[in-house]
Amino acid sequence: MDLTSVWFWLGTVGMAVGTLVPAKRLVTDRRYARYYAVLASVTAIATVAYLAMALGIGEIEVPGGSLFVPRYVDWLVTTPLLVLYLGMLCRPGKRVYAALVAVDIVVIGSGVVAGFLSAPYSYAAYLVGCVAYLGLLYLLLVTLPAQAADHGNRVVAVFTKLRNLTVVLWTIYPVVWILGPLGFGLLQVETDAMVVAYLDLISKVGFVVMAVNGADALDALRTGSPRAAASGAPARAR
Amino acid sequence: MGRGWSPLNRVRESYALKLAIALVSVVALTVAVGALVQAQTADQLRDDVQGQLTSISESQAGELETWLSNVNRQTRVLSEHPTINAGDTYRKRAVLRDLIADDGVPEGVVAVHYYDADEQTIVTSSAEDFVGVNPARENAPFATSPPTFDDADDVHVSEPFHTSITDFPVVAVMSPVPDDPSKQIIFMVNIEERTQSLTGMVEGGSTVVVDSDGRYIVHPETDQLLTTHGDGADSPVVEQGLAGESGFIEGETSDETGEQMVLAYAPIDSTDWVVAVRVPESEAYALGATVTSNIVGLILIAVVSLGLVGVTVGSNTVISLRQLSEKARAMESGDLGVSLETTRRDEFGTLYDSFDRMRDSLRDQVRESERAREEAEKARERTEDARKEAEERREEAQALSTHLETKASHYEEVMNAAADGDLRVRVDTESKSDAMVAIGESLNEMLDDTERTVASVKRFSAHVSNAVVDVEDSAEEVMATGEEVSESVAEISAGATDQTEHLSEVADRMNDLSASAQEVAATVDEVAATSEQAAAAGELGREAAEDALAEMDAVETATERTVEEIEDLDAEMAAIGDIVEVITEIADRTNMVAINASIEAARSGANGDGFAVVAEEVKSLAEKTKESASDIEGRIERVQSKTSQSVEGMTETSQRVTAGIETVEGAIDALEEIAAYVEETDASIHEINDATESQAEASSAVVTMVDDVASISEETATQAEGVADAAEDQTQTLTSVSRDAEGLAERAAELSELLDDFTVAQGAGPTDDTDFEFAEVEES
Repeated sequence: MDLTSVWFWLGTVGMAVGTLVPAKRLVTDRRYARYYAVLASVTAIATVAYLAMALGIGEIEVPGGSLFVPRYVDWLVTTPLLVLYLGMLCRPGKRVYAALVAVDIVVIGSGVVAGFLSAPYSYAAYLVGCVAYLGLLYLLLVTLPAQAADHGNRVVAVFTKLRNLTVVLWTIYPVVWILGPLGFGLLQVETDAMVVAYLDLISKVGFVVMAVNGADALDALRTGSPRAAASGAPARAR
Repeated sequence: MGRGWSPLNRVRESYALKLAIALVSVVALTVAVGALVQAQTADQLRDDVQGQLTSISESQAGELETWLSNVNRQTRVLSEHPTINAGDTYRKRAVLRDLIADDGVPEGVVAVHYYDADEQTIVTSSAEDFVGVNPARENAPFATSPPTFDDADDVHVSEPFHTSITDFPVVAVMSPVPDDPSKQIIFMVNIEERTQSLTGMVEGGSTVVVDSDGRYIVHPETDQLLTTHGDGADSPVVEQGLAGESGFIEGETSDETGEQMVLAYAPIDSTDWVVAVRVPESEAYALGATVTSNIVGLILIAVVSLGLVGVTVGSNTVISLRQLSEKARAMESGDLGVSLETTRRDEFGTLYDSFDRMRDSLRDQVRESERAREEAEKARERTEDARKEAEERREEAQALSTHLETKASHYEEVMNAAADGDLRVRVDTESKSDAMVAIGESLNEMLDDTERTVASVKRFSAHVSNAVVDVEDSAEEVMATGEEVSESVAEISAGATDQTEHLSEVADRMNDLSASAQEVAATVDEVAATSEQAAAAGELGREAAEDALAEMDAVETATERTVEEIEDLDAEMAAIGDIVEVITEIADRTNMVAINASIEAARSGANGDGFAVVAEEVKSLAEKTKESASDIEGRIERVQSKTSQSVEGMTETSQRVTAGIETVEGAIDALEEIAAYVEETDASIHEINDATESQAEASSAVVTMVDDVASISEETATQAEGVADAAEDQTQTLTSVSRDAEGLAERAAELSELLDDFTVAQGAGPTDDTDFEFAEVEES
């Protein structure tokens, strides 16, 4: 019994439901349209990608197994959006934005390359992705929190929660990749699809829902929160 | 905090780290359990695969063996067929053809030949194509290297070989014809057909048969037939198989595809062939890979879920706590204006509210204490004013005291002069201070007095010297008296000791007395009990007598009533007597009438006879009536006399009862008297008892008093001894007085000498003894 497509369908439904949450806010609360638009597009793109995979579009045979192109396209687009949202909570400089997105694209891109290559070269590409991911972690854990602290406790709380979710869950992706059919092959295609779908749901829908719940922090962001600037409590990386 | 950085401290101080460690521990545990499950499953799976493949290989070996022996037997049987032995070629061919056509040969046998080994020609065959064929040219191994047969029953199985006639490899099974061993029956077996029936038993796997040289006799790939397996005769399959053992090998590389294979082998006992069943490892252990995949997937799902929980719960908690503690720190450093608002409504919301309230109350308290501090400041200023005033006063006092010091030193000089004996000096009393003036005046007065006194003392000392001599004499007299007193007191002491002894005797006697009194009291108590018993008995008697009296009263009443009734009866009887007299009278008259009638009848003669009879009859009736009446009268009289007797008896009874009553009443009186006496006795006994007890008490008191007296007399004795001692002390004192008096005399002399140092103005103080006494009185 091949459950792969079942997982893809479940992913599609989950992502679609996850899109409704920010989409509704997008309509009712126009002040933060930009923020909600970013969130909604994350899950919307993921929905399309899962739908494509469920319909069997974009599956490419590569050495060691199948490579789902929509999945990597999804990741290439949505992960920069998620990182962008984290950035928008901190209002860093343009260079930090650029660095975040660039490093993220390197991480996903090396994953794609690793998928297309065979054994020794794929691991090399994988290592490149891991190093780039460490850079991304540095940006998320050290650079951004310093900026978030300028916007008050509520912003720090929301940012820290979303950042922690991202860091914890994204760290699991490389582990899944290396255990999966394209890596050591401990995970079979079907299980791999299940785990990745679950991870995607949590890291995208979970992120979006938490972000919408913490949207009251955006007020503090807009007013600039002089009190928080005065208290100047440094938010340490956990 | 100050213990330096160490990972353990870091963990102790961070809830987030603790949570992370807890979650990572859970993950580690899950991974460990997953690994264990995976290892167990893999182990189990390996055993299953080994068992399955081994049994398949063994069953196939058995099957092949059966088939092979079947072919062998058929070959031998056919070789012994009479037609084959003796018939002509045509008939032999018919037999062979029928055998094939009737399907009378084992599976896989495609043709049967009659072969002449000497001619190396197939003489005849079931298949037309083989007739006249020289097998040596077809490279048939049985032709190129002919087998030798031990006897007619022997069967030879050739190696597989290709022929140009068949498009499949064949194996020849041969047996010699008994009559002519150079002629042989050959069964040609399509080995490929056998192969196909053997392979396909295992999904994804294949069955091969190798001979003793390690060549494939059976192989799913036909072109691999007769190629060498692995190391040929040295490969473990061949070596072990030829040794008659079956077994299982893992990790063997396939000759064809290079895949890792698992392989089970079993020997065919009747030949030197070995059956091997091979499956690629990926196929054999596909289930294991799936299980591993699922376990890893499960662990990853768990890790993701724990990560989610850790991030949501942990981050929320840690962030809230951290922010709250920062606010608390801000409050601690005095910033009470921090914002303590939260949208949370759980325990954190409550905590924030509590902090908010605490902050408010802190703010109130701070305000309060500031107000208190201002008040204290004001009070301090007031104190400062008071202090300045006091300072001024102090300076004034200082000036005064300087003056006083000067004055005092003047006074001191004067007093020193006076102390040196010049009592004529006087101080200058003029001063700013009234007190100093007063002191100066007093001092001058004192000096006056002193001067006067010293003059008096001078005279007094002379007087003392004289008096002391008198004192010494008196003291000696007193000493003599004191010794007498001592003796008297010793006598008293002895007397008191005697008295003490007597008193203790008295006390003993009194104790005896007291004991006797207590004995008497006990006896009296017994008597009292007895008399109370007597009183109770008397009371019982009295009650019995009163009961008897009541009974007698009842008898008397009954008797009197009986007497009355008898008297009534008597009266009735008298009335009956009157009636009887009337009846008697009537009877007399009737009698008279009857007599008269009879007389008349006699007169009338015969006519009167009837009448006379009647009269007679009447007369007899009257007489009878009279008799009856007198009889009744008699009876009445008897009754009356008896009634009188009864009345008398009754009266007597009544009198006796009355007498009985009197007697009983007398008894009751006597009993009451007894009771009264007993009560009196009882009372007396109680009195005696009381008296005895008080006597006992009194004697105890006497004893106590005697003891007291004894102790007093002992005390007296002791005190007498004390007095004696005192008298002796007095004597000693007097001795010392005498000595002192002598000393006094000496001192008085010294005083006289000392007083001579004082210069006293002429005429100061009294001039003789008389004046001295006067002055002394005045001063006291």
